[in-house]
Amino acid sequence: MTRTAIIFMTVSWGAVLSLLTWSFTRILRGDAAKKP
Amino acid sequence: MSPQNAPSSANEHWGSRIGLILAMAGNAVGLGNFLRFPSQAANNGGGSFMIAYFTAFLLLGIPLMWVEWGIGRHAGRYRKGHVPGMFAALWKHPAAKYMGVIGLTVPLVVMIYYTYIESWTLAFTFFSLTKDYFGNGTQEAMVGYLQSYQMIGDSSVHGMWKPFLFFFITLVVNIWVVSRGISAGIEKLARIGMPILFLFAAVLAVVILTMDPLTPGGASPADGLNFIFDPDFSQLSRPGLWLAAAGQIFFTLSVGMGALQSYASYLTKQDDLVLSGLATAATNETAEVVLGGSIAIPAAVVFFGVAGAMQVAASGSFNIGFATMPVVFQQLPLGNLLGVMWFGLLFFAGITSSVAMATPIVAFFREEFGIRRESVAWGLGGVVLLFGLLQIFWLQYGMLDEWDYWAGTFGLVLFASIEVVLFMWVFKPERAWESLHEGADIRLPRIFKFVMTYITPLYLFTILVWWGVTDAWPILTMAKTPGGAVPDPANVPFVHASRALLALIVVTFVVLVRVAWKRNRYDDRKGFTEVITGQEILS
Repeated sequence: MTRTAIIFMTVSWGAVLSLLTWSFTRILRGDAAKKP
Repeated sequence: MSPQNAPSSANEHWGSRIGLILAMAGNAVGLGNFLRFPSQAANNGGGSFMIAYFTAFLLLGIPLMWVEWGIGRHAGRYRKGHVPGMFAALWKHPAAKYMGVIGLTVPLVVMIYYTYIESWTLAFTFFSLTKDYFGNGTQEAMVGYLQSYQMIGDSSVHGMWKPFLFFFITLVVNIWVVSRGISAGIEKLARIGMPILFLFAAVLAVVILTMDPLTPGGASPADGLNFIFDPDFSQLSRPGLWLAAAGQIFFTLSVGMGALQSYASYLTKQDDLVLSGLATAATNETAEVVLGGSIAIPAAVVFFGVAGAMQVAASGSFNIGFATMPVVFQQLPLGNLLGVMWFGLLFFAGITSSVAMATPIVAFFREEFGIRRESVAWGLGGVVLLFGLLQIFWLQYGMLDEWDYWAGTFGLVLFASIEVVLFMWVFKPERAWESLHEGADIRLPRIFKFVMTYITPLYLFTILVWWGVTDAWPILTMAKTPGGAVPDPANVPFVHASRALLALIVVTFVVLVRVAWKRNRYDDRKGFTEVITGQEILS
């Protein structure tokens, strides 16, 4: 793989996985806090 | 969720927030994530495509997703889970309901041919398990095997009954799920199907990415990833690249279909849209960018080399999925089980999308004509069966391509353009913004209000005009086929017939909407009656 391909892949995967992790973490934390 | 407050059609509701997100993501994750995305990325400059892709995700995909969730939840207050009702709830004008007919036509038409394609994945899951295609070791042989199943050319490889049987089974499963309702049917399917889909995709990605080159110095899976992600910066100045990326974002998130809105109509004012919409989009993007990019193209590169994979990618998504991948599986240990996983994941990706397409249609007949859910679902099954049989017979004459272009491509962009104008301009940006944030777990940066009001509509109209000029007009006048080829004169009568059937579906829905409004004595200028916890107040 070329260096630029590695950078593009890392940034793409990183962005998507970060968004996934962040959004689900917020949801699970929020739901847990709402529970009586 | 707040089931006790659920204002959606006939008191249905989602069982849990995670269930809702899985169902929404199941609707979005489809065949395109695993077949269309890698070939689009590889054909459009790799890493450069990803720049345009993420730009479209931020300016088009995510804003449209929020718009659709917002439109759906707003209409749910009036027990409207279908688009004619949703548009009428946004715009108190007699034309609004008729504009919403596009939100019944598109999901029905797409559901008909999508269920048929979905049945191929079920059939090939079975053929993988029984090693039926083993022995067809070349790309050409597998294309012949696939076309025989599609009843194109030599149909002696498969019995005539097979495509009908698998279509029938696929349709029955779909309708059964829809007939069970939102929580017991669609949500349950998503809770089972989505984890299986991700598991199968992850196993396949690991198997393929850890393969050794077949010959010393031959291509490795990393070369496949390089093929997808290596940027060709010269392509960034090409408008076609930006439109291809916007188109991919559009299809992958399943916006402009009527299904997301219908799902969202089962939410209440207390439910969050903003964060849930973002989680849905993130789940879809993970399936597409991380998993979708790591299976088909890297496998094709290892077995056919970069040049061979380039040809495969250019030959179309279906060839990659149904011809290239089976050739690869035949050469791997436990290849038939890997084939089951591949086609199984495509089947789950397909069915979680096709049941979503049925939802707005079921909601329309339930809410406006008071017909029981089970009756509507099985009645819809009868209609899909009828038109689906026609799709099987007329596939070789271009019916599927024709419907896919007008409903599943151009229709989606047209639908999204209308809805974003209605929500952000007619309903007004302030009300739309406020409506989106009711019950929200996070507040969006205000820049997105500007994006949704100006940039997203502009983006959509650019695509609409560009496609109108470069594709829609030449296709309409039969200067070319939706696939870009010169039309075969023998197919022309079938193309006319396919278009006439599309027009018939539109006219039927227009009449049904008119009948429904008269029957229920709706006043277009006054709007609907809001329904909250059993008490009705005039909006």
